[in-house]
Amino acid sequence: MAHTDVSRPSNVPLLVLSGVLLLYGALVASGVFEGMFKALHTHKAIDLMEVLSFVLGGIGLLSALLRQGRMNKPLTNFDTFVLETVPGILFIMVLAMGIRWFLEPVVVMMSGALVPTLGFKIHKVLNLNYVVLGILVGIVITNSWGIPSFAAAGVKTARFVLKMGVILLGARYSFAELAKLGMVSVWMIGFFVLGTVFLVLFLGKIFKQPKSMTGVLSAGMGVCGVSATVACAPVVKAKCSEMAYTIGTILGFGILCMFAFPTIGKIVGMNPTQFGAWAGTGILNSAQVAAACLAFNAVDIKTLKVGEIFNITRVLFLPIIVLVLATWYGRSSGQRLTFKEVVVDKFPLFILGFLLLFFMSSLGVFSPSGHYKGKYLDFSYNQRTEVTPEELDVLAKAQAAGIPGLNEEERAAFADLVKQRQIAGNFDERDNKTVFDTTARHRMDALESILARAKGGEITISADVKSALGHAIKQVHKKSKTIVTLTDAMIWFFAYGLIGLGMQITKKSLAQAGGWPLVMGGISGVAKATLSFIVVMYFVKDVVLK
Amino acid sequence: MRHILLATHGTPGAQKAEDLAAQWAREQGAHVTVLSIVNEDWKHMTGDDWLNTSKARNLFADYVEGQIEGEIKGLWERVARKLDGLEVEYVRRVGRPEDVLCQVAREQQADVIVMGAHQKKQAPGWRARFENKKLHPQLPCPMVVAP
Repeated sequence: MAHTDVSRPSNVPLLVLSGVLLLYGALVASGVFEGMFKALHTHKAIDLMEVLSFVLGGIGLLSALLRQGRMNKPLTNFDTFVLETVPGILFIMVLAMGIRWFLEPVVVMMSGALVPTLGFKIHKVLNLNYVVLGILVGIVITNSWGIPSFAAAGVKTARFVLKMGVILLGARYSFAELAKLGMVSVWMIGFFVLGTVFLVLFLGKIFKQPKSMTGVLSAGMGVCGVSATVACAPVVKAKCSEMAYTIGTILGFGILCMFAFPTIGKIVGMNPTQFGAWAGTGILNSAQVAAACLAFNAVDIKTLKVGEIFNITRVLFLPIIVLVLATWYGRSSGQRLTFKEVVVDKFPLFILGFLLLFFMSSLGVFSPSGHYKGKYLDFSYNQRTEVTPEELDVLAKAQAAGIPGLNEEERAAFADLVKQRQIAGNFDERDNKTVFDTTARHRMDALESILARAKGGEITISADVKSALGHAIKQVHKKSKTIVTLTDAMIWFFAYGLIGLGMQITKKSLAQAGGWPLVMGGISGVAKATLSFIVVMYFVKDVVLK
Repeated sequence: MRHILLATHGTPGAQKAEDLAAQWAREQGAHVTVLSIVNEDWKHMTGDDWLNTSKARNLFADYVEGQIEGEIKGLWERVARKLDGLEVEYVRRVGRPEDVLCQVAREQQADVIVMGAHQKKQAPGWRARFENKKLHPQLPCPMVVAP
């Protein structure tokens, strides 16, 4: 349906972005940046850089041409939902690419250079990987220059894209994983959501606070942060100041948790299941749960898989909490809500998409018969086939110390693993897949030989080295090409979505934190994080995740 | 002084401005425009929520709008009693407070703007104060801060 509004932001930023992307793609293809990429250790992503730059630049240029032709015409749905979003989408994608391939490696290098002064790697303590940096960049942009007007419409797609990421994640679960994780999450979320809601209601009574304020705060602190506040504020008739204080408190608490949780989790040696469970329970805002999980481990997505199950469980608890609060509040106000208002209107449809992908994957839709587990080896250059930074440290130290008894081939494969951080062929041969994969397969065989000989007692390697080698081999064993592609897309969707959501966190909204919501929120938030930490450490065991 | 622009959101500091504007309007026989500004930053208050459906978010936006409307209505009813017998006009605008205040002053050709002073302790409500650095360069008329 067209309407009479003909105002559109200028086409110049879109043309500039498209031009920059196309030029960048051409320069990458020409090889002039190869030395720099090797120094930054991003050379393995050269092919992806080329593809993304040309595809996005092409889309941008085409959109700019279409927009130019429609500049003084009324906006149609195609304009509003497609054409006008392209500049913002490109804006976020350029940021995501810049953060992943330039900012993150530079931060890592600077962090390494600061070790003599600080005595530790600051990027490890603050978990400054591309996900956390993406959110921070989003926050900095929105609070300094503001979201550029040309990008405003596109930035709004972040929520949709993040939901798409969760939907794609559905393809990565097995029935067993979902059953085990689902059981743990239902128990933990059930206990902590209801526990926190009732704790806040109790605190409200003790501190003699109005029901509207206690109600909205209890939902925010108990269920899923700002999302629950948004869903429950109309139900408990919260006043403006109460909503503002609650949202400010939750946002501030969430950002602190996003930095603190991964660091604490690593210090105490949590496994992916434990950390995902703790973050999924203790962190209030669901976007920050995803960020913390990816900050804890961005190499593979085990932690994210656990955290998102907890996120989804929380969302499914939301209608229950709305119902509880509506009953609690409605008793005094005489208000009644319908099933449609509580469940249907608030049910997040993306969960159906998540379940659809899960069932399709479980039924083998994405895994042709030739791709059963272990059959398909993926030696392509990608972070998901790499060992973790901690494992890399272990391997590098073992290599420096020397492992007695290794034959030439094993030693070379070990050295290459440390150099490339993954099992792969030679970088210069990456365009010839057959040669590249054959070299990689020989290296994998050599590493398997090390493990076999260590098991047989012929050579001695530490348990940490064994574990790192085992993980390196496991990283290249994939279930199916389609699932690998879906996972790659998913990681970019998460990075994109979190940058866009970072842009929604303003200092003005953070400044609203205060009043009794800050006091009660602080007490209940810290209590929830601490108790869930104890429960996770003592009662949650590792779940074998693929 | 023929036209006073009174900026108020009902806090104790702003109520002093209401008293001063009422007093001057009676002394000078001036017309008063009561301005209520809805801070544009309310639009960011859904923060990084991404789980809700657009319907739930729209419901929240409508609810917030209704609440603000109700608060402004209550404020105007109270101010109307203070300004009883005077020629009064009420204006409600959304935007950045500094910009909106100056824009309305220009549109209304106000002779003076009257507003409340910063209080030591901020009153309950939306936490935002006029920033002099942003306000002063664009003032179209004198501004009086009621002590």
